[in-house]
Amino acid sequence: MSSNQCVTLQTSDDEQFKVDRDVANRSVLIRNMLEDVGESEQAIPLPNVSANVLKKVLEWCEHHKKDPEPLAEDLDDNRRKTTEISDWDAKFIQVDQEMLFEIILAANYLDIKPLLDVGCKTVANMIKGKQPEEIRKLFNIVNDFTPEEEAQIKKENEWAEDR
Amino acid sequence: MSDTDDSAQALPRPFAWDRLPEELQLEVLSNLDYFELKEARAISRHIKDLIETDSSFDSRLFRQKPPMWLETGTDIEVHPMIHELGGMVTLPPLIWNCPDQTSNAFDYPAADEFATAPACTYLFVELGTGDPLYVRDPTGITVRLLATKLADFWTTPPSWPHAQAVRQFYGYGQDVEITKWHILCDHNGWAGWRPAQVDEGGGVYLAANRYDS
Repeated sequence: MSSNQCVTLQTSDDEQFKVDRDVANRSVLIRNMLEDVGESEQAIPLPNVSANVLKKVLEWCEHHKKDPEPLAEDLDDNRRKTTEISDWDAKFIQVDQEMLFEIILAANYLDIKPLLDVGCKTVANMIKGKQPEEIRKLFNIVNDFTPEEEAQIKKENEWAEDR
Repeated sequence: MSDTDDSAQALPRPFAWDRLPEELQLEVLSNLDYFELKEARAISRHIKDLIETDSSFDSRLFRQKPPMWLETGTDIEVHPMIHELGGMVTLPPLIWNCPDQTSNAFDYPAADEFATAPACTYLFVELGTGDPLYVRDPTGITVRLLATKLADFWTTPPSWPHAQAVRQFYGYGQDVEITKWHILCDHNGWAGWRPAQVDEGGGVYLAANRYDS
């Protein structure tokens, strides 16, 4: 089987994308589907991804199509993740928050772990160094603490301030 | 809404955290360090619950119970409060960074977290006086226990020959009580911990840097 074959992907809003197989293979979901059905002219339906998001995701897959396979699922997920976002990825992910959110969901659905990582790291970077109130505003989170509880958490962290 | 913040993109719809499934919220939070996680608890009740209960944060938040055996070469992280306190601890262990300048570290819940990640049951501390300090707790050594043992260490006398040598050096009589502080003479400026290591016995070896004068 040649790896340069094309695959057709069909989005939730019924747009079709024709891409190289090695690009589509970045998605473990699609790769598994292709392995299951074998050679097929039929479009692969992706009911959870819209065209504008898939376009963006495919742009990432195209750029990363030659990346080596990630090592056995980064076993020590609990350890601090030190890998930084590459320059290209950082530029790629400079999108509005709605798109960022959609990319994360799509990467999760399509099972593209490195792209999911880039998205989640980007959101984490938006949290770092901000006050809880700023974060709530940014992400539409309701403050459901009483003022006392909030003060209590602040007090518990007091020893770690001005590091 | 302020126009001055750095989120230059005007957003059609705000990124709604709640629209992320919980597994992805955890994925995002997994990129935060100890301090950032502690602070993030103040965002909302749900986030606080996630951080306080999800086992994926156990190691980073120093609450992972000691493993049966620590392999030599395991990466050992020392609790930030131990770094804050240094090795020359007195009781109460004071945190000088706090607003009132002299907060007691033991007033904070962090004192009951494990002193290392992964937690250890046996700790050998080298403080440069020539006297060993062993700390042992089969349920895992906490910040509180280690700080208490460090304080004990400095207030108890050194070995007899050590004490005699100090008396001789200073010209003190037998009536003067000698503590381990005396051994350091004027080389007593705390200079931090060296990276902790697992020794062959599965215990953790924690040593002070050479003191500054």
